[in-house]
Amino acid sequence: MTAVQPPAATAAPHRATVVAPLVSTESRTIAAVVGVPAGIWLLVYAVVAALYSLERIDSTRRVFEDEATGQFASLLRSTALYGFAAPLLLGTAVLVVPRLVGSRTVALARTALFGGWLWLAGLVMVAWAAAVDGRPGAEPASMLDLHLLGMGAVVVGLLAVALSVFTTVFASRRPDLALADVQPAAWGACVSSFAVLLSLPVLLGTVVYVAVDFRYGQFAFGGAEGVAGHLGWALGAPQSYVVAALGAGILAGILPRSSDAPRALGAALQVGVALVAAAVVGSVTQTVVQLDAEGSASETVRNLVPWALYNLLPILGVLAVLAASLLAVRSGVRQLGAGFAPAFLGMGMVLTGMVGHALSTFEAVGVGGTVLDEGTGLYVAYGLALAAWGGVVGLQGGRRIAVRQAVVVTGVGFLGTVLSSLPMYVAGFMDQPSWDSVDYDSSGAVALLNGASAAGHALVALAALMAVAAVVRSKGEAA
Amino acid sequence: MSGALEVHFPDAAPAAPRNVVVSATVAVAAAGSMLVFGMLGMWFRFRDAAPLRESSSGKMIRDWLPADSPVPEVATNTMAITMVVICLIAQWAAYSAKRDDARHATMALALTAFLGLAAVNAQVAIWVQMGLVLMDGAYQTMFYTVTATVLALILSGVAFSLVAMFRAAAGRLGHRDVFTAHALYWYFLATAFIALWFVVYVQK
Repeated sequence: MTAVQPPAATAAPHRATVVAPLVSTESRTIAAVVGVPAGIWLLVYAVVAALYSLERIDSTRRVFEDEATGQFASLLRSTALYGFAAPLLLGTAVLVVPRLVGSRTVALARTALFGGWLWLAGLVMVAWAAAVDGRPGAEPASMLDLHLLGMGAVVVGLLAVALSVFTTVFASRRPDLALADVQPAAWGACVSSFAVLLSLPVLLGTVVYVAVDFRYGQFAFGGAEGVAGHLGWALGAPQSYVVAALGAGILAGILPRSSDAPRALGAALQVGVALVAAAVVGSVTQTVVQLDAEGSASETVRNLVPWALYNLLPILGVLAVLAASLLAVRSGVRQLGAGFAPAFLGMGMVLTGMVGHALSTFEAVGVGGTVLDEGTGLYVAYGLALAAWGGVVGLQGGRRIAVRQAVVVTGVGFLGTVLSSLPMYVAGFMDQPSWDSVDYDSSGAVALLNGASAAGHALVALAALMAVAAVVRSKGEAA
Repeated sequence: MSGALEVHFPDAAPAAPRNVVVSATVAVAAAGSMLVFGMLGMWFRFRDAAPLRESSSGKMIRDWLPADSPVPEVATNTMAITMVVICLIAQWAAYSAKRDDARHATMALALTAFLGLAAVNAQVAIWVQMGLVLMDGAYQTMFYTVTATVLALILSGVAFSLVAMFRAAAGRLGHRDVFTAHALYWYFLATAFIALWFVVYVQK
């Protein structure tokens, strides 16, 4: 474990004015600008996902119009990672990192605040575009320009927040605190935010390309269908693993620091977090490597190296963090904080999603293009939200969330995550196609699985509602 | 009496304050590099997927750059050289700021901004001389997108130079990190443009 205890925070003067969210440089306010809308979006997302799953219980009968189903699918695809998973984690980092590194607030606070608002504006644009006629993958998509503008704003906004988080750990920490000795959560925030800074600009470049092409002639990227194809890599794995490093850091940082714990454990946690962030190599190449067993041996080996780099390294990283955290628990814990359970379970969910994704890239398994892909994305996105909840509960100083509330939210959230995602894994093996396709046999178990998934999403929505309420209610309560 | 020898080590030097502006600029430069290199990667992908055609010399080449739109080499090379010169001038500004020489720092920063605008002018000249129409094909779309993105980055560099120049003109040389970060930012811009120059204008 790290030897350095987190320093006591120097409280910034609190000005609770109406315009504070627009001008404040306090990390708590900036975190609220990012985190609270992200929590609300998680609630909206889970409700929409529940409706979408209900719609898929019976493929022969439509509850909603075809157009609405497509809009649901577009919204769900586009906003899991950038609508709540990444902003919740970055918001948590803004909240906790200054305290962990002995800084009064985040560095470049106004940049982070601007980023938070820009992200929110972009999210509204993406949602609005989906609600009218602007979704990738479906013609005529007259409002796809708005979708792309929204995606650009979301990306730039998150980049600004990530820049602030990275600079806080890298340059605004206490002068006597070496980077190797920072609290693991701060280390995770530093590594992950830098990985975000390296990967999101690649997405931004692609968004700019497809936006210009879509507006002027549609020669290169092929209209709305092409937009979906060219931006698809950024909406799931391995891009989501880049953010997962922050979740791994939160878990590592929540562990109680015990003098009995071997020093190697701290190093293992740091290396594990960094390994998760190594997925950035996969995301910047904009590729999802498929393993084809029918090719020649040299082709298989040639694909195996990038496949292992993009899939196995992050899995290894999460495994290392989970194993090291269990060892840390064993070697000197008398009392675990309430934040440990959501962070640990959340990263466990992320690991399940990673394994599922790795499995889906084996062509021999034959689950590519099925709802298993959706299940892996849900496991990772909901898992990261759970890990962020762990950070809010376990790492923030000052106001505290009541332990009972924290436990209830964790339990409901965990149950909801498993119930919404696991049935998608099973349905994937039963060849239910992913997203807005209705061409599948929904008789028997498939209907049951989609119903279970809808119930899971409803539980996640409930957990999100309780979490937002708990955060709001914690206001004013002293530590 | 204790026989133990007491050894006194000198106190360690106080840790130097870390440089937030320079660190943030390094991060921005890294992000900007990924933006430009990512776009150039996409450029490669489309160029390699273009069909083959016979060149004027009889060789088979990729049908990517329109045959009737030659790259104006004078303008592109001048722009590349300008970007290198800007780096030298920006470093001169940082050097002057380090020596509290506000006059030279201001002059160097004004010159940096001016040369940045000259680079913008060169880019516009390249567009005019090539005479490509945005809606004519995939090459045209991607050409204007990638060059305009780098142009926007250069304009952000000009804005940085102007802000730094006003600071220097007001005698605010205390925060030297701003001038170091400014030079660093122009190094990044020059690198990004040289990469674009090589891929888009030289390799064609």
